[in-house]
Amino acid sequence: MQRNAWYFVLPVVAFIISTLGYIVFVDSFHHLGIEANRLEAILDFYPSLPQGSTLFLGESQVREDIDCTKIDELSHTSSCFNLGLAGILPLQLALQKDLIIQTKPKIVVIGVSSVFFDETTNKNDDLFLLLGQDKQVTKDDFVMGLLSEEEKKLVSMNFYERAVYKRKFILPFFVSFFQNLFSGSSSGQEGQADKVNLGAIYDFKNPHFFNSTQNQAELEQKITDPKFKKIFEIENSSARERAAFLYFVKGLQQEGIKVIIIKMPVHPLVWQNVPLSSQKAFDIFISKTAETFGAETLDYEHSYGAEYFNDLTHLNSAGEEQFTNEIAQHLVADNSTRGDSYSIQ
Amino acid sequence: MILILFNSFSFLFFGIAVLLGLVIIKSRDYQYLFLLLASYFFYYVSSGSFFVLVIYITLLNFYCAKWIKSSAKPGWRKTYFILSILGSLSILAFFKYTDFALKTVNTIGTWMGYQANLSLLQLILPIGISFYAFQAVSYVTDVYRKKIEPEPSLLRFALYMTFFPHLLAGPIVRATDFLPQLRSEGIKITPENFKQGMTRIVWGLVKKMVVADTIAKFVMVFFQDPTRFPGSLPVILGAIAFAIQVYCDFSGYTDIAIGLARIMGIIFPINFDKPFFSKSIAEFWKRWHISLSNWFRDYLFMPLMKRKLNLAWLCFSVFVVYAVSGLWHGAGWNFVIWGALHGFFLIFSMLTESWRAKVNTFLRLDKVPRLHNALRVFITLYLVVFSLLLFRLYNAKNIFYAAHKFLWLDLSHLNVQWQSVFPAFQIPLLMMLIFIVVHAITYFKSGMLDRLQEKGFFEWTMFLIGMILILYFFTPSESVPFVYFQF
Repeated sequence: MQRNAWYFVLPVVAFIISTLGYIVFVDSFHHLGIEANRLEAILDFYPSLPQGSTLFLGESQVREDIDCTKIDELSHTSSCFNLGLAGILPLQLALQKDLIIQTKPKIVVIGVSSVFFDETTNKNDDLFLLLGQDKQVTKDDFVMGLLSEEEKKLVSMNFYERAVYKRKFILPFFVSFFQNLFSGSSSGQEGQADKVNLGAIYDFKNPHFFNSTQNQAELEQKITDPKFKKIFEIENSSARERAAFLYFVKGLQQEGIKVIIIKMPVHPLVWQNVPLSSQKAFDIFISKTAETFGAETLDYEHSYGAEYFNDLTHLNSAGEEQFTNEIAQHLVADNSTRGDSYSIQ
Repeated sequence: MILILFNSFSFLFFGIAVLLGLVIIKSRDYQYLFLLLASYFFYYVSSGSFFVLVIYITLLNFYCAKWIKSSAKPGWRKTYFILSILGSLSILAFFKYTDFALKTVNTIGTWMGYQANLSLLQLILPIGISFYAFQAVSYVTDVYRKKIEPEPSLLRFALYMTFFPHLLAGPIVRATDFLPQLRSEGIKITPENFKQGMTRIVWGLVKKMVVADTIAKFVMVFFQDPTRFPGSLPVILGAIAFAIQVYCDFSGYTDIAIGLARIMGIIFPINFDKPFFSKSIAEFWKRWHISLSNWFRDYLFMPLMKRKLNLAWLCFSVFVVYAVSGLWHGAGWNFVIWGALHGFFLIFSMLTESWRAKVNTFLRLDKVPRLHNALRVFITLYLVVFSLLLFRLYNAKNIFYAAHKFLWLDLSHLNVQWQSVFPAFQIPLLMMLIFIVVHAITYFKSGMLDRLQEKGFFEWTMFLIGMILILYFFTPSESVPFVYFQF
C-alpha cells in the first residue's frame, strides 16, 4: 500500500476513535434531568427491593404527599417505598409492570388524580428512552400497540442509538454548569431544578422536590386558565393512558398483588372550578377500574382544606403528615383484619 | 418518497457504495454510466416519479444544443434555442409558480370586487428543479452563443445534468467547468482528492448539523410569531439568527457537495466566500450563492444590458434581475420584495457613489480605511439582515412589526426584551456567538481549510476526530431539512 493510501483509512480510524470516546463519555454521563435521573435510580433500585414491600407509585403528588419513613415507623416495618416520579404517565408505568412484579411486592398503591392521565403537560419522552434501556421492561403487543411510532423508536433504541440520543442532555448541562459556576452555584443540575434537593432523586422513603408555596391569587389565576383547568377534566385526557392504567392494574392483580388506588387530595379550588360532570366521570372511571379488577379505592380527593396545600395538587408538610397518617392507619387496619403483621402505635 | 439527506446515515451508505463502485469499475464510460445510474437512483429515492423531469430536461437540451450547432440558418438556431429555453423554464414555471399565479389572480380579483376563486392545483415542487433547469438554460445558451461546443456524448451530458452531489441544491455548475473534467481519463479516487473532499465534507456537516440546526430552534419559534417578543432586541437577534442559519445551512450543503465531487476528482467552483464581510451589497452578491449570482449576471443582466446603455436602463435591469432572483428563491411576494429590495439597495449605492465619496472625505474616513471598511461591512450587514426579515416572514402583520422594530430601535425595558430570549434560547444564542467568532477567525486567517488539507496523517486525523466529536456532542436531536431544498 502506498504511503498516501492511508488517507483512505484514516476517516474510519477517526470515526472509531471518536465514537469510542463519545460512548465512554456518555456512558458515564448521568445529568439527564431530575426526573430522568430519578427514573434511572428507580430502575436500578427495583432489584434490591425486599419482597413483600408496599410500593407507592404515581406522579409528583405521590412523591410529595407520602412519607414512607412515617408509614414504616407507624407500622413497625421497613417495607414502604415511595417511587413517585413527576410527570410519569400510566403508559410508562405499564412498561414497568414486569419489573414491578419481579420485585414481588405485597401491596402496590397507585396515587391518581385526573392530571395523571393527561399528556398535554409534563409529558417526558426521555423516560421512554430510559425505560427501553432496561431489558426487563414490558414490551408485549398491547403496550407496544399503545405507543406512538416515536415512542416505540425510543423504547427500542439500541446501545449506539441511545448514546447518540443522549447528546441532547450534554450541551444544556454544560451551559447550565458554567452559568452556575459564574453565578456561584455548584453544579449544572441544581440550576435547572431551582433549589431542588438533589438527594431526593435517590430517596425512596420521603422524597421532596418542591419547597415553595403559591398564594391564593396565584392559584386562582392558574385554575381559571382554561388550558390549565382542562388537565383536570378526565374526558380531555388520553384514552391510551386510561387503557394503560387498566392494563397495569389488571396485570398486578393477576399476579396476586394487592392494588390500592388512592384518589389523591387536590386543592378545594380545583373541585370548585372543575365541572361536576368531569369529577363524576373521573370517579366512575376509578370505581369501575377498581370493581373490574378487584382493587381497593381510597378517596381523599376532597378531604383537605386549602391550608394543607403548597399549590393546587401538592400538600404542604402539615398536609403530608396528616395524609400519611391516614394512609398508614388504613394499611395497618387493613392488614390486621387479614392477620398480617402491620400494627399501629 | 424518502429524502436521502447529505447528513443522514442512508446517504453515508449510498456514498460509500458509489465510491466503491467507482473504484471497482475501471473503464471510464462504465464509471460514468454507473455514476449516472446512481444519480438517477438518488433522485428517484428523493423525488419519486419526478425523476422523469430530469430525463426530459436532459434530452431536450442535449438535442436542442446539437440542432443549434448543426443548423445552418440563424432562424432555426433561434427556434431550437427558444424551444429548449421554454421547454426547461416552462416546467419550472408550472411546478413552482402556478399556484402563486392563481393566488395572485384571486387576490387581485377580490380587490377589484370580483368573486375570484380559482382553485389551486396544490402542486408539489420537484426537489432541485430550480437548480437543474437553470443549469440546462446556461448550457444551451452557451452553445447558442458559441461559447462552447455541444457535448457529443449523451452519457456525459446526462451526468453533467444529474451528478448527484449538485442535483438537489446546487451549486449551479456551468458546462464549461464540468464537461471538460469528464473528458479526461475518468474518475480516479486519489488520496489527495479524498483528503481534500473529506475535509470539506466534515466541515460542511458541522456547519449544517451543529450551527444551522441549533440556531434553527430559535429561528423557528421567533419567526412563527415575532409579535410575541417585546422590543427591538429579539427582532435583531432573530434576524441575525436567521442570517447565520441560512448561511450555515446552504454553505454547509455546498461544502458537502463540493467535497463529494472533489473525492471523485471533479472540482466545483466555490459558492460562498465569507459574504458577511462584504463591504457593499454588490460585493455581497459576489460572495453569496456565487453560482446563482453569476447565472443571473450572464444570462439575464448581460442580455438586458445589450439592449440599451444608459443609466435608467441600467437601474431598470438591476431591479428586474434582483426581483427575478427573489422570485427564483420562492413563489411568494415576500421573496419578490426581498429581491427587489436588494435591487433598490444596489441602485441606491450606484446613484449615490460620488455623494458618498464626498461625505467620506468630509468625515476623513478615507484616512482611516480600516474604520471605513468596518463601517461599510456593518451597514451592508444591517441591510442584508433586515432584508432577510422579509425573506422569512410571510404574514404582512408580522413583517410590519418586525421591520418597524428593526428600523426604529425600541430598547425600552431592555431586561424584559433580553428575558424573552434568554435563557429560553441560550444555546442557539451561544451558538451564534461561537459562529461569529469562528467566522471572523476564518476570514482574517483565510485559507485555514486549505492549509488543513495539506497537513499530515496525525494532524488530519486529529481534525477529523475533533469534527466527529463536535458532531456527536453538539448536533441537536431534531434535524432540520436543508433550507434551500424548498427553492
